[in-house]
Amino acid sequence: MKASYQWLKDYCAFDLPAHELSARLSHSGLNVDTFEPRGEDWMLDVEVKSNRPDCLCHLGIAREAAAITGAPWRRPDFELIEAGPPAFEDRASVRVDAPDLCPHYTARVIAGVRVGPSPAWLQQRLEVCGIRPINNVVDATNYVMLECGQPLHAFDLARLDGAAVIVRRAAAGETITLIDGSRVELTGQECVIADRTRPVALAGVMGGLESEISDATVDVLLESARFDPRNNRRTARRHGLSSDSSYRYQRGIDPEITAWASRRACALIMELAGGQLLSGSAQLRFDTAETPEVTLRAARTRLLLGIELPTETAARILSGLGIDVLARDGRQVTVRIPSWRSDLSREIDLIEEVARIHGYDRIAETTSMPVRPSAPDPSRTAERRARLLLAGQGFTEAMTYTLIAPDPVQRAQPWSDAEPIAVRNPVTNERSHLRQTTMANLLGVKAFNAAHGTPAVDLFELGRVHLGQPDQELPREMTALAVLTDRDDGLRVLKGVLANLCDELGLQEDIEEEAGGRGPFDAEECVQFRLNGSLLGVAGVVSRAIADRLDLNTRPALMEIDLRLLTDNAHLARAYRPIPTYPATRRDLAVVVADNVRWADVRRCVEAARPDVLEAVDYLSTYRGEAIPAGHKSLALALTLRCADRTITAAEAEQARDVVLHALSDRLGARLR
Amino acid sequence: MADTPQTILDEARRALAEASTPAAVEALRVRYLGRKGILADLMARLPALPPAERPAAGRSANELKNALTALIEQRRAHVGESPRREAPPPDPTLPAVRPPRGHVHPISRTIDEIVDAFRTLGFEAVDGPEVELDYYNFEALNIPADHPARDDWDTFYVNDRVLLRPHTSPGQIRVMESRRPPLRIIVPGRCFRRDTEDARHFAMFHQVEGLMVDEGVHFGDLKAVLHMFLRQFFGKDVKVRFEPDFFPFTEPSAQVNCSCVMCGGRGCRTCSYSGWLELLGAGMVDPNVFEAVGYDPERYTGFAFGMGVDRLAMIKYEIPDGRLFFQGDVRFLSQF
Repeated sequence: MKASYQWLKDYCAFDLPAHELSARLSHSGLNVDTFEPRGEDWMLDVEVKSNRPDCLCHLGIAREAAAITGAPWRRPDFELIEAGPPAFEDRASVRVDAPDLCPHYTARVIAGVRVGPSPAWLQQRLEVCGIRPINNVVDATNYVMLECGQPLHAFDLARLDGAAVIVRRAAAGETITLIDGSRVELTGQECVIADRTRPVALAGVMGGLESEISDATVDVLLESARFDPRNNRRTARRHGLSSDSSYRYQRGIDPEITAWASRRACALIMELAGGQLLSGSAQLRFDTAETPEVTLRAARTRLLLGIELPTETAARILSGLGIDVLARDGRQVTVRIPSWRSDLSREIDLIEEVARIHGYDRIAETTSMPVRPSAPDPSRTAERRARLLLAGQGFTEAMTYTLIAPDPVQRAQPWSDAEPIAVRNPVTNERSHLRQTTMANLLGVKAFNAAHGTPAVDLFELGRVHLGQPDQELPREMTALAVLTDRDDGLRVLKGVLANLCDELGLQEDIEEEAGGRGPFDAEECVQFRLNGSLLGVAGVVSRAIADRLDLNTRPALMEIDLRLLTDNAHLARAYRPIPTYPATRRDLAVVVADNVRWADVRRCVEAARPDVLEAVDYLSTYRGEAIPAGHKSLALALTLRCADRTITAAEAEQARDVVLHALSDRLGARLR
Repeated sequence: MADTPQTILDEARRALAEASTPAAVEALRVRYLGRKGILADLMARLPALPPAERPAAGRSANELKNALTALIEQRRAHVGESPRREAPPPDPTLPAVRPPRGHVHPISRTIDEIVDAFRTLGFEAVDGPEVELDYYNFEALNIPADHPARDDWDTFYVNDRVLLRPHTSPGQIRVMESRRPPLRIIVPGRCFRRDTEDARHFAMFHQVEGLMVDEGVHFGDLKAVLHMFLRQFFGKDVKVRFEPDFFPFTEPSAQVNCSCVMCGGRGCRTCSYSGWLELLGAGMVDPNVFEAVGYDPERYTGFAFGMGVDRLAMIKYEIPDGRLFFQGDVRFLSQF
């Protein structure tokens, strides 16, 4: 709320320049964002939090100033003279049909006003507070709202059909044109002020165009009322409306200020616009004025703040805030909460009041605290190791947006058949759904860098993807690790990355690999991985179509794995395994096989042939060309052979090699090159 | 019968043992490894072998070559003086060939630093969901439906009950629902708000929520923990100032400011010439929150705090525009 420094001085005789007042208010919880000169005056931009609606007016801010400076606080004096007859009830009638939405309604009538511009002093004060002067009647209502926080509305009495005010629920389908010119169709949930035939104001949100004060207005009906905060908020949100009145009603206004504000505004209108106040008024109230008694215990204060604060100090602070101290002894203080402090109802609320006025800087910092060991979370440790391992291997971590547009690249993912989850109120269509993969975004990063002069990058992202689950309110949040490389033989590099990761995490199970897998891949050049039967991930070379779509000159290799599945199977503790006592020997082979025989087939065949002495089978190279028949290729491989209990002999090695060769020949039609 | 690799090796070993000058060692090198040496001869005979024997023979020839080279190098070192080389002189000033090196994202790095700092204070890091129930995000945190306090979190909704968390505070509730005090936890994670993006506002950002609950935890403890953390995070002593603030789930609540780490409090661009950085929101857990999770507020007290990771990273690494974090430009990422 924008406040005027000079105006505040009307109600509290503090002796502080504007900058010092701003600093003192900020330190005690009423944060002054900025203060700027406005002629002779200063504008203070006060950040009023939603718990302190009492500070949405000058009297409220002045009350805080009084509490922190000790200077006295006062309400303005005014004199209100009723004329009469005719009396109010001769000229207007008021009925409240929806007391649940309007617990308090008051109205008065001023007859014979002369509508015109306000005097300069009033216009200036409104302008400091960011409110545009309109005419003397409307300005008076705004002035009193800024003074005491009570929103007011002035109707042109002649425009109210039957001179009637009826506070009721809207009828579904009713329409009203508001003072901002917008036409609103009502749902039936809203609270409206109506005359005999139609709504004339959206209660506490905005007045209607047809009944607003104009130069032709002669008689004014002044409303000062209280409306239900929740209903007011829903109405404002439903119709996309905001106003100073609605802002205050939503946060709650002082129930005891409504009647005072009505009299105060009438006095000001007559001062500015002349006219006569009819005798009598409408005063309809449907709730009671009880405010709670609350007790503050010194022991509880000490427990929460860690400092000793005598009840005498607490009582002095609270009464400085305008809170009545009913009783006090050495152990506790009992107070009655004033009507304007709806945020105070519990002991803890009083402890906060005492703490903030006493000063947080006077609460001593604890000098020693008991030590408590904390256990590291294994999956967090595993994720951190994965990051460091990847970075150490040349991959750079990117972080990309969780919200995406569900285009075909985003949809190319192996994890879910469910539709991506849509956000109901996105800011842009580009970020409207929750991602189901990080691969598409990583390709976007690749494209960004290619377009910005860094064509070759190795990237990874470790982040959550969101997979809708039937019968569950919340999606499954999977921690995905995507890795992208431009290196030669990229798919094999990514498999190597996965193998290193498994080593790093101490995975004891084998990862099964099969050809094919869903992702932004070339159908011929992709694989999927399984761990204990569950899908662990996919890897492949990006398809030409997708590379073209993203304007990539190269086709990078890309992998995504369910990192949590890996880390759940991790063995982060290391354990020694004996180093072999006897040497291994190596035998290399080159075999010619048909083109459609895959390395995985060869490896499985070799592994099955002599598991007793075969320690490892390694791929060396593929050769096509001279001396190799068409439709065939030559695969070179190396066998590492070892006996656990003795040095393997040359004859044994040769024999094992022959067995392997036979198996390859029998099962895969291989022949020695 | 031709010499076997083993007999060749044995013979070489004996000859080398007698070679006592560099010239003698060099002569032996030529005899065994030279262009027309014994090894070359052995290699030349390989193609004549039956195909089945070739790989094995080749393999053992290679092993022999390695063994001979090693023996000769060893002897050469023993008799001193390196042989004349015919190769052109090397240039040891050629530039480095750098093995590939990647980088951890500055946000990850910052979260790790925060997690480590709090671990030394006994806080355990836990996760919470990014897509959250309205109940955990608002209701249980003392922010009822239709309350204007909800305006402080401009929230993305999936439906009436499900939203993208605009803060990590629901993590507190989930932990308290499943555990009993004493508790010292932090919840790092990604959050979302319907902000129009600029250099300092993001629709996606990261927070770390903290919570300590026990018998007798008070405001002085909160001040101590956050002061210790900030000192550790910035690696130097900083002044910390607590000012009253409002959060529905803590009372009393505080905004925590830290003397500007760039200028030491004299005033600079980073701190908007105020000398102070607004870094955290904090406060004592509101009794209504304890009641929502079934803790007795008369028995237990605690504090909670929340901080923006992106903002801390921007300050620590002097990053002027937070949008750089999520663009993926490697010219940026490779600086960390």
